[in-house]
Amino acid sequence: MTHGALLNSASDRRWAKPAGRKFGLRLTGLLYILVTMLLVVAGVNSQNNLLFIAFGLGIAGLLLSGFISGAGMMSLRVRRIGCTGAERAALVGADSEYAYSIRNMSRWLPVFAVHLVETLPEGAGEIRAFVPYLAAGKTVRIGARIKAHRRGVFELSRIELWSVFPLGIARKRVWHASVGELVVRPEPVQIQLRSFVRARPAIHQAATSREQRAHAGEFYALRGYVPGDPVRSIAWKRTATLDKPVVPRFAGTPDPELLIRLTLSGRDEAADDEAVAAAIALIEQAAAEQVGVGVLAADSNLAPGSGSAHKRALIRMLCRAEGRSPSLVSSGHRVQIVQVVSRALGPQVESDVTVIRSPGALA
Amino acid sequence: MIRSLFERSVFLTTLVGTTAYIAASGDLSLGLVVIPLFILGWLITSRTGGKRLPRAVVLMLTGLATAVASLAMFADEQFSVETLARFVAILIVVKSFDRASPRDHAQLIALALFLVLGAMVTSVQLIPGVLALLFLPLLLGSVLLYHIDAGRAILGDTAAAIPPRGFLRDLSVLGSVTGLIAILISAFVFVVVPRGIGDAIAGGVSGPGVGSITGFTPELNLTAGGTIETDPEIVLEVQPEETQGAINAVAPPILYLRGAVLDVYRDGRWRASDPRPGQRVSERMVADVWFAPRGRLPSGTERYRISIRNASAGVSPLFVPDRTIGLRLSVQGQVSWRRDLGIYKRDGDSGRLVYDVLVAQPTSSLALPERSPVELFENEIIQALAERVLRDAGIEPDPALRPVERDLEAARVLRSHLSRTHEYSLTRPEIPFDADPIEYFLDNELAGHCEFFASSLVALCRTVGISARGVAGYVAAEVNPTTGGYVVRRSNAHAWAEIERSPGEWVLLDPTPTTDLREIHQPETSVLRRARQFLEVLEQAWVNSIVAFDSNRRERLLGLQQSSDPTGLLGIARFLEQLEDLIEEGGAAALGAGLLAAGLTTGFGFGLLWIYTRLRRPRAIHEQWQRWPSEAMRGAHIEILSAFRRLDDPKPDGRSLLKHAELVGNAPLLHASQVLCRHRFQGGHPESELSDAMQAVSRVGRDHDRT
Repeated sequence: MTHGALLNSASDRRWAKPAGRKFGLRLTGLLYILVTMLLVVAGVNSQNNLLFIAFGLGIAGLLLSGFISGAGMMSLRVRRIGCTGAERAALVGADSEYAYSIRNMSRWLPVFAVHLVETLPEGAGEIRAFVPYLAAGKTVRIGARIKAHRRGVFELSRIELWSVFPLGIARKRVWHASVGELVVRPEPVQIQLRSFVRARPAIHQAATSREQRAHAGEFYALRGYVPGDPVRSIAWKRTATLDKPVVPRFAGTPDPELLIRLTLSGRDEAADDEAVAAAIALIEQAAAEQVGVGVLAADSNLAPGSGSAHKRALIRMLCRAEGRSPSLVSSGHRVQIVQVVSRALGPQVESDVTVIRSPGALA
Repeated sequence: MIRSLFERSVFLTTLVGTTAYIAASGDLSLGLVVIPLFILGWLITSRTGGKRLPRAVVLMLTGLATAVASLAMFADEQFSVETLARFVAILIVVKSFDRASPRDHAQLIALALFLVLGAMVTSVQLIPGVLALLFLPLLLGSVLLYHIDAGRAILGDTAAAIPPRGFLRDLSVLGSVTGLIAILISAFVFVVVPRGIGDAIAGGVSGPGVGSITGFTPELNLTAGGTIETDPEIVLEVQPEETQGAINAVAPPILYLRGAVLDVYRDGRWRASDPRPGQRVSERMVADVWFAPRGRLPSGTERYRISIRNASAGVSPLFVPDRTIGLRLSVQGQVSWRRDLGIYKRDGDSGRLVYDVLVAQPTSSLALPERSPVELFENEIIQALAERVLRDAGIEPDPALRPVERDLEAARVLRSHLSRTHEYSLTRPEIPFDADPIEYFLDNELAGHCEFFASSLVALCRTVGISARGVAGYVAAEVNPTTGGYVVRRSNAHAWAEIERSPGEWVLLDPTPTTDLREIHQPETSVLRRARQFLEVLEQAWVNSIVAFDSNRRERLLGLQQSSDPTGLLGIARFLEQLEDLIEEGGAAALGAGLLAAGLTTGFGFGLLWIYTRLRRPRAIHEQWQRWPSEAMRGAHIEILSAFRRLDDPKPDGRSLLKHAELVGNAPLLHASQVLCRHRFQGGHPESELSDAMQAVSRVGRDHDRT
């Protein structure tokens, strides 16, 4: 997963020194020492000079193993870049990538075979990467593999680098203090099916009727036709030119908006994850169809909006959502509300609300 | 690239390790089985893309090998390096069919390492030693590459982790420096570790070849033994003093080295007589001080330096030429001397033994008119034969009637008769159970080896009242032209006779036919022989510097001989002082040569690895970029690069074209890069596709310039 692309070494920010280090013997190291001791015993017993040479080489290996990569490890600096997955979030159970920048501060000593590890809190998973080689004075950007076991927003505080190079006798560890965050999404689900189709007419009807009511303001853009748009609203000339149906949009008229109301059980993690995944899928579908979307969750909510930053904020909020049913707030204007309910909960149907009960609605 | 390099390195490491053990043990049958099977297994797993044997088969084979090895050890009733090494060799073969992950390759490396250790225990000869030295850089390279390959394998991605250029260079430099430092540390430990302490404390686990003089026996048994020794292994070297001039390497004079005098015969066995009081002299000899048993060191002597490669611990003979009148050990030690036999023995540690001898020139002094009491050899048939031969030659066989002056002549007549009528053969005659071997050889078989000739001459002489005795030792008849000294092999073990010309004055008389003697001990010069002699010079250097390094040499090097420094710290200080003196006295060249040799040995291994990988490695991507199949592609590449520059986003070194195009995000440039790569590395695409893409690139450049 290493990109191997060297970055420019010049940087305004200062690279932080390691916060700590620890060198420890491995099992292979103990075996190595045992074999070395056997060599000297055999050499003494037989007075065979070749065995004394082998013993000397064994001692040399022991000394060099501690020095070579130990010095190199202390010259390493690491910086967190961030998650490079979709919407800068990792996925539960799937390979995602988290980017780091590593610099070798040594002027002449290259480093080889360095492992990078970050552990997510509460055993939620880990981030691992491997740097096979980093030349002296160079910086490399690496993509670490994220293995996350559950959804959440996790704080990262310590990046650990370790190596057993060159002989595998001792493990040399150094760690760097660095604060970061990792958003882990549940496994994605496909939602552009019946669920959104069910909600879609109401969303667009609300927006279109307002457009028609106002019909004031200037034409400023075209948007793709979606089922539910009146056929009369289709701009036929542009449709013929672009070879796909489009409808005009007018300034001063609000975009269609969708509010997702998420209800989680707080008991069944798998069911709650499915509900969150369904909500995220709705957000993505809505964004693709240029529908403003907001979320009403238990401990926080976000008004409908659009844009990639808004989308990321929504996903982050959903990923950290806990149980408890949210309270329904009244909106100033007419907004279509879609309620996503964990399948672990009983029926909670409210009037004028499209209900998606995961995963039945996802079939 | 890393995986491929690692696998090749492991292959070579395992092959060299296995070969080292086979060379050390001389077990050709093991080599003929293991090495081809190992290569076959390796090729099969390579061709099948790492498809390995089923786990059940591997377990079954491993279990079978373990069971066989256990049974072999149980049958031997002791731990045997040979059995263990055979077991490891079989595991290597099984593993070569069962390799896929870096872990499997690491196991192969470990098994090969154990075989090399087995080779070190089994033999101290040059070839296994050189292979073990060659194994060192290969092992280091394999281990270094293992950690890199294993780290990548854990993450399961192999394509994206190709390190940029400079990786191999840095790894080679690191490996070379590490290897050199390791050799220096090892040399330091080698010198500092005390010798002679704890010898055989855990029993005789080590193999043969340490502390034994082979080929020579201090007794002769004519009724036992088959073909005599034919092994060409070098036992000792005899170097004449430079002032004596060079020896004729083509036809050198034969030098007889006495090891044991055999003057008592019974039931087909010759042995030395027990010493009478005053006949044995035992003396603690100081290093480098001459010991002259007869109390005089006359002028006109020859001087030789004799190096026994591997003297056994305890009492062992010092081989000296005929007419030796002085002895000087290179280290202090206990030497005993038999005045009546002229035999020297040393009591000390095993290992290399070096001493100088002074040899008197042959004299032509007249024999004194007296005869020592002769131990008669009572055998009527032999006596009748001797009397008949002497009468035929006109010499009186009765000692009472024959003048003392004619004894030597009579002995020579008997020797001539033996040489003329009997045939030399390396095979022992089939002697009947109740027959005397000498009588049977003289009267029936008429063919035998040197022991029969010598015994027969002694017997013939004694039956006619001539004082004679047998001598066992070596003949030095082969000169290495590089060193200018004699080389003595196990196959040069020999027996001859001595005749007492006057009381206490013995004359060497070898009854073995001269032609046969030269044919056996002085082989003809050939190209192969010269190559072998060159190798033997290297082996001599190897033995002298590594194998024969003992406590005396260590103490001398560390300056510990005249001190009571149990910790050795003072010695280390003296060693450093001596090193300083050595450099000041112009020994820097020698020191530099030593370091250079160590560096060259390490560099040689890395060089071989480098050449191999250079020849075999698939061309790196950046090298392939230098070779364009058509000018159109080359031009397209240049145009794309210049388009990047025009966009103020030039492609940096070390980043692939495709990667850079993705990062820049310009669609026409990305498309053109993709098309170019497809054309360059896949082929079979229409030329028009590339030209269309390049037109789009041209538009990008023009638009940007216009903007």
